[in-house]
Amino acid sequence: MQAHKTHETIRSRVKAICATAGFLLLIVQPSGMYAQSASEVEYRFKAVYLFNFLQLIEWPTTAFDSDESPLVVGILGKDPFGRLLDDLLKKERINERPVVIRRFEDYEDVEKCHLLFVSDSEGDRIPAILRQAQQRQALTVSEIVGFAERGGGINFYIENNRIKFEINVDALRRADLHASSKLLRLARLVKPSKDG
Amino acid sequence: MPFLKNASIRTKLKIVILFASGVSVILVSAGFFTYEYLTLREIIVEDLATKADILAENTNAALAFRDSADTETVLASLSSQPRITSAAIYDLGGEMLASYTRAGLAVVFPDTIPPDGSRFSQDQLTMVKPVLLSGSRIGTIYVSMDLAGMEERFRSYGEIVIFMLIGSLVIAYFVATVLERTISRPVMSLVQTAREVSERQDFSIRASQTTNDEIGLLVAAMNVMLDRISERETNLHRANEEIRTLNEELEERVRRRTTQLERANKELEAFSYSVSHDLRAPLRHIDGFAQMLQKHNSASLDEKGLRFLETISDSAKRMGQLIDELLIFSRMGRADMRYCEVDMNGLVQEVLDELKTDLNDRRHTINSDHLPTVTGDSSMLRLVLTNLLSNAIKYTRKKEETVIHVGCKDEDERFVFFIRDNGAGFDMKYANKLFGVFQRLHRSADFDGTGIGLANVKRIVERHNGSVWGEGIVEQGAVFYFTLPKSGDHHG
Repeated sequence: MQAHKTHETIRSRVKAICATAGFLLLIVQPSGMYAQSASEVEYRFKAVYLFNFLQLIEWPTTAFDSDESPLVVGILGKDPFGRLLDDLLKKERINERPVVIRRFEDYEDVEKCHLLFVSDSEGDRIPAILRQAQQRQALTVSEIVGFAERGGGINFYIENNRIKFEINVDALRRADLHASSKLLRLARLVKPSKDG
Repeated sequence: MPFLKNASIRTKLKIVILFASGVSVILVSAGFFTYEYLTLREIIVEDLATKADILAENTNAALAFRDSADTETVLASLSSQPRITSAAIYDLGGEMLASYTRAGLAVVFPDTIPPDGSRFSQDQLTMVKPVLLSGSRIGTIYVSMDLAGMEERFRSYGEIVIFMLIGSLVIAYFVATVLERTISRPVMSLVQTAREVSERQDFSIRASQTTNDEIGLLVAAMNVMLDRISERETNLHRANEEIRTLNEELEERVRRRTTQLERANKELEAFSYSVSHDLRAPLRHIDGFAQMLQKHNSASLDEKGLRFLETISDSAKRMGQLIDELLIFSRMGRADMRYCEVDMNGLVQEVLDELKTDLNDRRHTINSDHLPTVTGDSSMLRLVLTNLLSNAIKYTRKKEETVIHVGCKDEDERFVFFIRDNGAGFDMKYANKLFGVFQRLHRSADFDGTGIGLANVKRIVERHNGSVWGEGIVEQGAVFYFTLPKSGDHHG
């Protein structure tokens, strides 16, 4: 987990995103590490957060073929993580299960997966994606504004230059997923809008 | 324990019991204290470890999402734990995500996170544990705890131990007082009995045996010993009684014999006195008539007849002299002694004056040392000197010159008087016969005498508690010694 930095650094990175000033990065970053793009840092964190979700959310046994079946993480649409997620999860095991990453171009291609990250690029097709995911009991995670209100499971957002997340408890319950109370405590809980 | 040497056995027993119980209570207390101390430490460590684990579990998600606000909130719940002074959560890089400090305390967190584990410092216990998420370490929790409570607890525990120690010693003292009696009472009773026996010399006293232990054996042994002593005492007493009875009988017998002897002696003396006295009358007649015959009939008697008459007369006189001396001898045995101070110089001079006529015109040298004054019967001592000096004069008759010396040697307890002459002397092998009655070493023809003189000397000197002996060389002279005690008793 080399992506770990202090939150001070995160804040600096987010500021950097907003300011789009490359040199500013170097000034604010006190450790003098190699220069990273703001988005790379952001997704490094988001990758870690995805990993944390895998650990703090419990899938029903029916979601797996066997005890050794892997936890499948799907990425739908344009992948913002690059190799980050692969590097992070490659060697990890969660509850004795290996983690497998699948990438899907189109929501229609989505096969069985436990966590489905819906990329920004899929913003137009959310209802269809959610419908399908719901059938497959998959936890949907995205960074599209209003994703959770519209029936998504977890959605990243930025507040005070920090990466935060909101959880739609009903969506998780419908998918028969059990989220740790510790996770819920850290999240902003949202209710689905009427039209969700 | 030399300082206990003179203490009574009761004190010793008490001290032994108290010492033993005191030591065991101290050891047990020390054991409990140590156990309690170690257990308490363990409990405290476990307790703090548990708290750290709970905190880690409650903050792991927040740490995973780097939510320091939420972590602070969780740590703030420690305010309900007054012993916890500080806590902090670090990420894997060692950076502090959140911390907690008990209100009112200024806590300095360590610059670098110490390795995992618990650490006791002066008044703090610090605990460092990993924060895990799904079994993987995602950070570190640091918690420190105030040990003031533990110290307080130990102080009160120590106070309890001291009270227990004092209490148990007090109880042990009473128990010891009761217990030591089971040993000391029989011993004391034994000692009391022994003391009574030795003080009163009463061997009929017996110690009572109340126990069957060694003291009981001692009591039994002492009773057996007392039996023996008592038996011996009785035997000794009986033997003494027998001896006393025998002694009394013996004394009685001696007294009886002495009385008989004295009576026989008196009878004998009375007899000899009367015989001697009665013999004188016929002798006087013989002498008187022989003289009368010589006076009236000397003309008609021839020379032979006259010589016969003279012999008769001489013999009668001689026999009279014999009888006189026998009378003196027997009187010396009976007469009471009249003690007084006697100046021996004067006495010697008086006697020599009386005997001067015996010397006739012989050449003589008679001298005397200065003699002491003694205590004795003056007339008896005069008789002693008369006998010895007349002997000396008598036996020096045939010498050209008579040499007599009277002297005295001062010995420790007595005076040794001696009279030395240069006369006929005597053979020392007859020395033991010198002082017997009628014992004579020379023929009457050579030296006249009755043979009673020295017997009288011996008798008188012995009545003065002295002794007498003689030394002599034939034809060269003799020395006669007699001793008189310087002082003391003159009885007998």
